[in-house]
Amino acid sequence: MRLLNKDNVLLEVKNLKTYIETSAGLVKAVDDVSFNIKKGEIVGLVGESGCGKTMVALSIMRLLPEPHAKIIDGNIYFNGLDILKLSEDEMRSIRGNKISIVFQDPLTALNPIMTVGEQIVEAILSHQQLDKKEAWRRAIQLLRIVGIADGNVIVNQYPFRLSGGMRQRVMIAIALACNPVLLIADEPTTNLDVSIQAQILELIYNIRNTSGTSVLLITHNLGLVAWLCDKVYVMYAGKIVEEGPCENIFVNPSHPYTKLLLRSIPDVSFVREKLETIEGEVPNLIKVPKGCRFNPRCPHVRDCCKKVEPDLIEVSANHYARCLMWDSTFNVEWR
Amino acid sequence: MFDTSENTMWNSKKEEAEEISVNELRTMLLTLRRSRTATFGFIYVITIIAIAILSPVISPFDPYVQNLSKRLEPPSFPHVLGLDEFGRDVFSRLINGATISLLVGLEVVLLALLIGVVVGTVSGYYGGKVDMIFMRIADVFLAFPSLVLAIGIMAVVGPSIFNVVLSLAVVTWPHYARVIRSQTITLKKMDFITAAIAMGASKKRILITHIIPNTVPPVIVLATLGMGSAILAEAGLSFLGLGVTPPTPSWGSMIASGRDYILQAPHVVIAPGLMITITVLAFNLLGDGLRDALDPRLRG
Amino acid sequence: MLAYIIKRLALAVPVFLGVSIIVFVLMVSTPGDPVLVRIGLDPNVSPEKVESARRELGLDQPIHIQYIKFLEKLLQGDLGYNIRTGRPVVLDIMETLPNTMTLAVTSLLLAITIGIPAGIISAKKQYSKVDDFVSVGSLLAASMPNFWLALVLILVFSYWLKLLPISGYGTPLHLILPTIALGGALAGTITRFTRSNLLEIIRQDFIRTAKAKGLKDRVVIFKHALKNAYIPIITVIGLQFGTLLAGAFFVEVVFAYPGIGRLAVQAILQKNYPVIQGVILVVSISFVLINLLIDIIYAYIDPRVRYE
Repeated sequence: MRLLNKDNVLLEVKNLKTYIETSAGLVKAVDDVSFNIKKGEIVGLVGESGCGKTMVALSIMRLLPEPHAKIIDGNIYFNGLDILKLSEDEMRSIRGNKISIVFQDPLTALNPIMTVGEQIVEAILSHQQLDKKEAWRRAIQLLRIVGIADGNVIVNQYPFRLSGGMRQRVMIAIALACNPVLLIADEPTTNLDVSIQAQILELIYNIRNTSGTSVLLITHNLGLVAWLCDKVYVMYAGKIVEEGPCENIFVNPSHPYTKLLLRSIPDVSFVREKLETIEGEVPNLIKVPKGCRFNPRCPHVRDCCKKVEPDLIEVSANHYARCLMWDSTFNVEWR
Repeated sequence: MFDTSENTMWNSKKEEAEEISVNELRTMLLTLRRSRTATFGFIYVITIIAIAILSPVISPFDPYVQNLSKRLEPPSFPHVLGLDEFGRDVFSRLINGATISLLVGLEVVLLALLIGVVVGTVSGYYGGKVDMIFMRIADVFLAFPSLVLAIGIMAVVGPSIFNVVLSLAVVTWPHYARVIRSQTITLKKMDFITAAIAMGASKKRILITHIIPNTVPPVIVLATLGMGSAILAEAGLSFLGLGVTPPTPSWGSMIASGRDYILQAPHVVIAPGLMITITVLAFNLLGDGLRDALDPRLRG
Repeated sequence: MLAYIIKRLALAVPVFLGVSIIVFVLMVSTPGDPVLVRIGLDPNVSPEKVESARRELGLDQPIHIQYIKFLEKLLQGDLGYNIRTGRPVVLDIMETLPNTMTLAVTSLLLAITIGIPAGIISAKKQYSKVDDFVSVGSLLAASMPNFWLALVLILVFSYWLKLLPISGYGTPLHLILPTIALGGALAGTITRFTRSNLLEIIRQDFIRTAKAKGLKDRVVIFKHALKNAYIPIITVIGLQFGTLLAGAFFVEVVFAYPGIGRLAVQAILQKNYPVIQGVILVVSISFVLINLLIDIIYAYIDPRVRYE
């Protein structure tokens, strides 16, 4: 059993289950997921598109698209308080205030007919009592923090006139408006040019360093994670399949899926014969495979994998993998 | 001659396109069943079409036969909806009026679609000067409130079923042309069109075999909703005396002639109006359902 | 912005010309000898008078010259003469057009006052019984023939309940029933359009962002969703104004309301062709102007268009 130093833990997600009703069936997007984020920590949540990562973020914010998506089970403790039990009003005082989120596509995530300044000021004034002048001053200050120097000009612009990178900075400014203690970044750089990606990531890193804000970075790109994160959780088909300190994951990847993810990162630093891909298709979250969910695509699959669903098994200190290879009862199969 | 392996690739793209169309229709029907209101619309439409077709057989009385001694009798057995100002059976006149209204509606929609599809696809596909000219013409027609222009035309050419169909088609085609032009422009950019061009298909052939069949789903929606509008328009024209001429039973003219007796015999006015409302409602519910079924975002 | 307005005005000119051509075509297609039609159907008129009238009216000229003459007169405000009364058609129209516009505006206001809130409630409570009720109800309103609704209203409120006058003009009471009859269908249409627009907007990402800021539901709907919805709604209102004007023809007839529609319908019965054409022309030009106005308003409120 793992023990957590409760004083240090900012967010603890315990056995979260979020299911979605669709016309094709019940999608088990988040199926018994547990993780925690300590104060000042940058945590990475990695996985392919469609594995349920965004649903985790929306569950924490309680912004699930109702009425089809619901949190079925589990607890989410924020500073010791179970936020799943809060009323909507209480939750609203946390959103944008203590916990903020930055979404993937900054063009569609900003209101097209409001200026950027109006949207930042709105975020500021929703949780703070300032007069308008102060709020606008703070907005320009926030823009400077996120790397936009001529904030007083940008503040009067409409989103469609700004570049993708600038829009994402604006989104981050909005998220920082009320000095949140936890920032959730859901694929914050996916739609941006590679050069801008680096800048945005550096910005997030600096935010943590200067304000001690914890960050949950959600992405499918393990490369970003290596750069930025203290701790990593790898997600597959609605479940956490590997977790551990960032270094351990990269130096000693223990789940076959993680290994494949690592190998498929496009890396121009050395020449490979061919670009590695992971065989097979993204798993069906309605009819999950029997046994280990990764078995249809696993290059190391054995018979036991198709029958037994593994728990998270300790590989080394604080490093766990959901694979029977590490289970003392079954690992004979791989000798 | 082309290498056969290339041929199969282009052919499979063509099949893909045809499959899109067939699949869309199939999905439309399946999604339709799920909506209660659309199903009601569907059932009612089928029923009223059957009634209209079978009207000579199922009509309990001759809609033209007058019985002046029993004018304006209220509903009672066997005249379930009473008699009108000439002693004619209202129920029978309603049934026969259905035939007229549905027939006019169908003809208007078909004619307007014929013109609209041709103009829309040609305009959208060829673009350039042709597009500009056609759309300018459409704009001029669209500058008139539709019914106002139809009234104007009917005032000049005189009331008759043929003229009603013509004038309504004339004011309706521009709406259809615009929608289909949009659809064509979207289709034009799709892969299977590029494939067909690469295979050397002529523009005319592409239009006929690829573009037009793929406009079928939105055309079905337009046609269904168009029936509702056409029925309302015909009723309006007949009400003003500019549509179907008496003694031919039309729901609109029934309301017009019954109007003077509305105090003594409200049933003569209420019955045809109710028929119009429910029939148009049914077509609209069905059309709405079909439109939702087509919308990719709303499909599960 | 100014460039946009000028561009729209310039594009409207060929449309005006096209409208005038169509009305001219209608005019020359009227049955019977056009001279007799214009100067009155008195059979005892002498042939010399007919000939001189023909020359006066320019009817011995080729068609395109006639059209030019027609256009000239149009631009001077000459719409011909009422066959029955001999008065200039322009006068008849100036007497009746304001009444129709009054009716149209009140109907529009009624439709918006009912339609937009109904659409909002329906969208907020999607999938609920309220939504079903409003959806079907609005479609029902849009499926009813307005002249029939008018008659039913008269039957119930004027005859049975004796609350409101049957017909005529003068007091606000005279406006109530015609407004309901004319605006009812539009209320249904606006409800449906508002609802479908809002539903689409609510699904967009920026709404999720607004909620993520911790804003109250009311703020999200009114400030973020609705403000975006107004833009297409205003466009639809412009287009529907034409339907209102056309509907006025029927409603005015039923209520004997002295508007331009009733004028036209009476003229049709009398075969008073100059009046008919004058009305069609004026109604269409009004429609084009209103849509032009809507386009300009639209450009003003949508920043994406303003900056083009």
